Amino acid sequence: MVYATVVITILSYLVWLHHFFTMGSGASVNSFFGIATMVISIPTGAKIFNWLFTMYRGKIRFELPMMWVVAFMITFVVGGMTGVLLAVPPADFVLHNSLFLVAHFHNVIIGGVVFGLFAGMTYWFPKAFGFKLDPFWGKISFWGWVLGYWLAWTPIYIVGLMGTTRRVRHFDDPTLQPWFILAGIGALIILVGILAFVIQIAVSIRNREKLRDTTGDPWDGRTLEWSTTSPPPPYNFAFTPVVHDLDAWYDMKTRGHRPPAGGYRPIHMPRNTGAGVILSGLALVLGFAMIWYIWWLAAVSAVALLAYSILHTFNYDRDYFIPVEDVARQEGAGRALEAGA
Amino acid sequence: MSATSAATSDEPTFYLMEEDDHAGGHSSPTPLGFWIYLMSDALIFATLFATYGVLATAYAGGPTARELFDLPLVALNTAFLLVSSITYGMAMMDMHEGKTGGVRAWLAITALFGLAFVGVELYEFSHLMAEGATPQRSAFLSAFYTLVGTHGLHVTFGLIWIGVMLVQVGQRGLSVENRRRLTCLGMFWHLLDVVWIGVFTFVYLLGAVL
Repeated sequence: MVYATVVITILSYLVWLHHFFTMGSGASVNSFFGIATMVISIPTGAKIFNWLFTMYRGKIRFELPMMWVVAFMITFVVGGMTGVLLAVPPADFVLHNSLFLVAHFHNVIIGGVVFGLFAGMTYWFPKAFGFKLDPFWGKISFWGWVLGYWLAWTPIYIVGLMGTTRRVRHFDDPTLQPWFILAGIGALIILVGILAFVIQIAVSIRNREKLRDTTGDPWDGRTLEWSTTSPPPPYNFAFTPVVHDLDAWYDMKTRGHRPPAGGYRPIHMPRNTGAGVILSGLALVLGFAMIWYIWWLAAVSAVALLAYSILHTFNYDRDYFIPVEDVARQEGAGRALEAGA
Repeated sequence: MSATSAATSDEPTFYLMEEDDHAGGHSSPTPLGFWIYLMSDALIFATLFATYGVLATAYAGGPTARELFDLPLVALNTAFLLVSSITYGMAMMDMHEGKTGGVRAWLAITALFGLAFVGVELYEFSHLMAEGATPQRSAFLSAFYTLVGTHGLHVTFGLIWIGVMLVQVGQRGLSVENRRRLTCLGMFWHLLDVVWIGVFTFVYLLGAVL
């Protein structure tokens, strides 16, 4: 998995010209970037098989995060395969600027990024905020997104293969119309998914007491983040955990081990500071002013950026210690919750 | 510990209870982070050098490098910057010996050489522009001003940083923070020297030959 990620990282520097196959850089340049683009599918395939073999013969529970993961894998594989198709320069000469291309990149961005993002968000939401997301509205959102996605984008692939170009407002060929109506219905179903997502957040916040994660381990997880309370204390772990197994928390649970309930020490912590947010806010203003040639604003924000950076270096009060009593109280509260659950 | 951990002899340790890492005082990761920043900065200069390399003879019928550059002046400027790196080294030697006054004096001298460098560069730029060799004149001049100007801007920010360090060393002496900052500033300042050697060689010396 790690090697696949590293290989993809390196290869991804060598593919950018696949956006410009038709600009006329010649056969050898196109071949190089075409092959580099196709080769990406090998480590990516390794990843997919990795995930599949992780699940194979496992006890899979179809809770919301797992549903998103499965949808991600299926959708992303299709997007990847049409990507390999587009990576062949002669095929790209035919397909570029068509709706096939548009369908391909929505396929990888929605299937590869958005679905994966939802999987991660649903999974770690209770760890970050202390309560799970409502599964009912989550499932409505899931089916809206997944069914809607396939209904919306499959017709776009088809009309793309039939030669329809992108960014066109009007079509002369009326036989294309049914496909676009189908895609429109798909888009409406996605809209249902989006609305259900918003409702899911609202309902979850309203029912947060009922959805509260009192154990810190709502999914019966395997990795260390689930060994702390939800949300975790500011210092994360009172004692640095020692990892003996790939799934350290699962290892601890099977051996019946509990975090130590005493012997705490003060914990060294960095102080909160608004510097990062303030600096990026000023940088945003500077970027905006430079893009739109608003010179006075650019000058003001540049000076403010520099002045605030310098001012921040005069702040020497950057760290503090969480006293032992606070650590003990926090850890004790976590333990009491566990006992009550 | 014995009261809290139910560890039997065959169970591995799951939590480090005796570490004193939390007490602080561990070595700072800042220099490593600063190296990474410097390498990303080096990438910017690599890009600008590559751009200049491609456009170096794209004069568009305008003035050529050979006609424009005043090599003795640039040589003097190169000397200013190289000497400023030596004087910065002197400041660091005084820092390691704990001589606050020496550090401030050498920093001030470094700043003077840096100011001289930026001053001469601004004079050179205004002189070139007065002759009509503006960034808009040709691709060669656009690339020239972008590369040399970016370096000059870096030196200017280095000067501001030296000013800040003069104040902070004056306020708190050679504290842990100030030593760390002086180390980073030194890396920054020396990198600008290295980049300038590239500018002097590939822009000015090569330009006089082309």
